[in-house]
Amino acid sequence: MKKFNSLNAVISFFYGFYLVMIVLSVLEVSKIILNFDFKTTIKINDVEFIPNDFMSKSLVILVLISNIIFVYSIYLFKKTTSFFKKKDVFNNEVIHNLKKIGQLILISSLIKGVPLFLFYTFHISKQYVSHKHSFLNLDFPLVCLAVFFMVLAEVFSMGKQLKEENDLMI
Amino acid sequence: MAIIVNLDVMLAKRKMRSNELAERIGITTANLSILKTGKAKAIRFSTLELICEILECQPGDIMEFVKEE
Repeated sequence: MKKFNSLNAVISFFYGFYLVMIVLSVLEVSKIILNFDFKTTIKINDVEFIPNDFMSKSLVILVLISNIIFVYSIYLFKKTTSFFKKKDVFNNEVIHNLKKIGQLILISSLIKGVPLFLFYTFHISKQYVSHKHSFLNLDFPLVCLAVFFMVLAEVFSMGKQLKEENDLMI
Repeated sequence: MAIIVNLDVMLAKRKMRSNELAERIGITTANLSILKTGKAKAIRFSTLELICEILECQPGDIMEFVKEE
């Protein structure tokens, strides 16, 4: 129980931190979108570029959306741990949340990774500052995390079934 | 389920109420109700032993197998 409390505190801290970062990012992205003479180089997943045309601006927006989705998945995880604190481990909402977290993390990494890859492949001659090779720009640890959460949801689903059977053993 | 529980029939034969049986076995009336209605997934040998002992019957008297169509 003590461990859960400290883990929940860590998750709450990360959630708060990311929330602040998202607010700052929204402000920064709105500055990038509105300013067509943006000169500063920005770096996303080893891809450096100057966001001063439509394509690069769209990319920045997609990365922001991806980050918002990721923060939402942290919020869902925080919500899920509150069930664990109440010792209500095997319920439908926990299973649903874990599955949703996995899907959201996967969507988040795809929204960020695929456009970055396309941008790297097709826009390289015009905008690139950095020519470092990057394969698909997918954050593979994040994809693994997404799969882990989906597997965890399945495990919890099996656990719920076993618990129900155990509860119905007289 | 293919296993039918005839506990209520046995209780009627012994003129015993569910509450009394539950109390004597040491389970809640809610759990006894689960057992009577056939919602139970499993029964412990110790519970079965107590039921048989209290109702003075055999396991076959309170349970029967009916082949599902």
